[in-house]
Amino acid sequence: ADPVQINAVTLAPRSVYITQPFAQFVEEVNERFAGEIEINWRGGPEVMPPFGQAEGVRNGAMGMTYTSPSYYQGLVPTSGTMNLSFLNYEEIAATDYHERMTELHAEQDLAFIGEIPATQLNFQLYMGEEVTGLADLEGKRIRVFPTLLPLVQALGAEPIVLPMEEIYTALERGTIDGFMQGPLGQAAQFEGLVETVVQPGVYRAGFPVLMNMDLFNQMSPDLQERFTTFLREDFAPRMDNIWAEDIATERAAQEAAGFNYLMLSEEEAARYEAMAMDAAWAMTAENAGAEIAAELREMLDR
Amino acid sequence: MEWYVTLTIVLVPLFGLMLAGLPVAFAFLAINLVGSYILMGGFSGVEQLVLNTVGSVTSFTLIPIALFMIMGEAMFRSGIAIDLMDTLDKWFGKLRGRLALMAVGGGVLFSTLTGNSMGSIALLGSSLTPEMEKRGYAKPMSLGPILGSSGLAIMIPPSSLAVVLGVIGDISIGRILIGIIVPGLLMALLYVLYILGRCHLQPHLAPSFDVPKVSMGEKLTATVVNIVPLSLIVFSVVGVIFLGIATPSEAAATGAFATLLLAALRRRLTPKVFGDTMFSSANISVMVLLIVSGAVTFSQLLAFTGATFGMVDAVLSLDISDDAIVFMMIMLVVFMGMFMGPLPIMLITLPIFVPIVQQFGMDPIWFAALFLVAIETGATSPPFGAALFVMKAVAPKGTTMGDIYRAAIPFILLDLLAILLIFFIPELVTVPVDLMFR
Amino acid sequence: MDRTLTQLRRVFSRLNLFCAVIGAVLLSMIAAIICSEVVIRWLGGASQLWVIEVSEYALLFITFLGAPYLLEKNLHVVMDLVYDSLSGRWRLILQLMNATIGFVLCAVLTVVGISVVIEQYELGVRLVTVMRPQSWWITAALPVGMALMTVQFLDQIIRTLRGEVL
Ligand code: NA
Ligand code: NA
Repeated sequence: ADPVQINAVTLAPRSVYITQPFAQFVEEVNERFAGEIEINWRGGPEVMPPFGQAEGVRNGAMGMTYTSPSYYQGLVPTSGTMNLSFLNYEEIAATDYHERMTELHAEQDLAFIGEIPATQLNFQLYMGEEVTGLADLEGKRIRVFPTLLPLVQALGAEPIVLPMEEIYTALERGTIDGFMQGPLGQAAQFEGLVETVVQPGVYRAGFPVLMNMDLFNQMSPDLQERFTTFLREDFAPRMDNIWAEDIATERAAQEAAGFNYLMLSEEEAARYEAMAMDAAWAMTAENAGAEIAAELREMLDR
Repeated sequence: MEWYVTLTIVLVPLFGLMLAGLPVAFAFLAINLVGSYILMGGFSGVEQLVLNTVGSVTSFTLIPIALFMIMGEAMFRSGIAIDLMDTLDKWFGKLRGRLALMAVGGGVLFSTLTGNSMGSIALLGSSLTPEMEKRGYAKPMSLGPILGSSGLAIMIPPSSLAVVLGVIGDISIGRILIGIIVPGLLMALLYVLYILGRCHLQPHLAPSFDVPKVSMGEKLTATVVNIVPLSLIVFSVVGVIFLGIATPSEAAATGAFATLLLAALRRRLTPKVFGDTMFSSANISVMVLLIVSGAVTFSQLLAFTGATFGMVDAVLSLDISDDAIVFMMIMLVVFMGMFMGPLPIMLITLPIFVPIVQQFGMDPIWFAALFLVAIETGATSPPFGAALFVMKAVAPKGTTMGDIYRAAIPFILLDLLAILLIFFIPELVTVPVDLMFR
Repeated sequence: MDRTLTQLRRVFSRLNLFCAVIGAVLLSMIAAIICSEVVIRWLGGASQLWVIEVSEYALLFITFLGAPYLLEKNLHVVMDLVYDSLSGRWRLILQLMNATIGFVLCAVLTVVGISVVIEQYELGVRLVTVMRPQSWWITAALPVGMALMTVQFLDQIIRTLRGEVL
């Protein structure tokens, strides 16, 4: 039979660091499953808007997406829980979490192949002024995207939603006091503006790989099994800890750019982490239901 | 399929439909419909087209365009723009091309607002062009300077496109914002020299007239009455950003409000003027936004076909010197700008171009400045540069697409000249950056 | 027959105008809420998180509610390089072609738009934003505008067949 042809789209453009693991995934799959599966990576947001990619895969306009869990919470309300853990990939994989996610995605007609994890890429708080502790954050205007809203509110800060292209000017002019983003790429962009980076970061990153259900069902059960297993048990574990070097390089760059690292005291860090989790899970319970939230949290909590 | 084959298959019918008189927005939509049906799995593709079209308009970055329309229409309908021109005539009546120069000045002034060139055109085109034509300015001198200077919006900080460039290309945003200032001013200077030169050679394009002797007192009174209050508008736009009171997009709203307020203070904001202002700015926004949504989705389709990546590969695989490759990259950006919006171009090219430029040992800030001029040039380039359609939407009745193309071309040539100057004199970018970030 | 047609035209013409007026009101509202957001924040008040979102949705509705009126009045941007210099038969032929393309286009998008709306409604899809609205009522802007434009293009076809130059 002809190989199953899969058009794929990603949350970020090609050649951007965050899509590097997916590039490798495509390469390995096309080689290992030659004659059975052929992934054709069409591009990123320039092909399909990031927040619409999961819906595009669901309706069949696209075959596969490598996306952010929080981008399709409106379709699969529990998807955002992929961020809500301090465990690493192996620890999460040991629970039933991925099996449960498979079921929850199937309910909305999406095939959850697995996730490409990046535990080290957590979210950090970047402030344009000196901060010495969590108390300093009270009343500060912090730019968030919707997922991080509950945490910022829990901190007593004031969340502001702004388009990405306005963060720089808003921070420069003092319309906002800070923002929350991942650990990479900030030094180059925000040189001269960021004063304090609050440590530790919170949550974890993992990028789900989703497929159109009809397309997935074109594969034989045996192929489905081998394909999912390849991602979950072979490829994903290899990707989880590839970021250390990049983070170290970026950190040096951030320090050179004048970013100071505020290490929260052990007690404050624990409070910060607990606050982050409680706030986000409360939101999940509200949006997806208390029962399923409790069940998933059981698997993801330390 | 080779990229140029795909491109031809897609662009020829698009241009054909437009030439046949199907409104631009529907021509995009027609190609998008057929394209998504064929490429993205039949009706699933059309469903996706619906989602993408809706998503492309549901965007905060487009809101300033609509708000600028309110400003422009209010200035025009309440007579604020006319008073401004009368006053300028009192001072500089004999200077040929003074209104064209004023348009460039307006472009520079409002370039302190973020957004792409479309916002500037919406504002200046609707407030200035009708009156300029009434005063005998020919199209090349009324439409041209506005089309040309609108692009300064992205060349003078704050500039949302510069920020996006920094984010996608992973380059220092602060340095880009400093680096683009001199190129932006250089472009403004080229426009001014061109306007003065052309008005000298072809005086009929921008009539001067013998102003009846006006006393100094009268001039000063007119200035105080007609120009000083405009500082309220300027403050409500530029000042609020500078003081951190509003973000650049929000400043478009405070600007619109201030303009209406000024009109009201002058007792010119009758219910009819207000109603007409809102109705007609909403209408023009609709024309523009419908085209933008068609063009955005069109870009997505083009990216899906892989034709755009094919172009990029074709440039990179040319067997020429590093310098020439970089120059070709910039020319490719201009070329893509003729039928695609800035954001998709950035997403497609930057992640590939920036590492190569760095690998060549060239300054990424210098490249960023060139890149932005190129984006800006493409946006005003025929046949599909989005800025041209915006101009068509706001220009006085009877302005043809041909008028707009002819008015745009000299300024595109000036932009290309600016690209050459920046290319061969990188110091235009690097010296200010080095001074600021030592 | 002609009377019915005239009456129908009047009904749709009013409907189009009504939608366009709603669009203008929404635009005024955008300007007002963004200004008040700036002022409230400047006076030390809390940022209203819904302002950006509501403005975005309003922009979408302005676009699709206003488009049918512009189509009726022939105000959409047209590439007039060739078209305007034509007259007589050629003009009518192109006019018929354009109206037909527009009709099919808008009809298809109306139907598919409605089916997307229904699907989103049944699935309960929400937007991933602060307000998390149900997606269907945002998407609904498109089929509403497309339906009215389908009618307009149909009218253009009828007029063209009767030899009217639009
Ligand atoms: Na220009
Ligand atoms: Na600017």
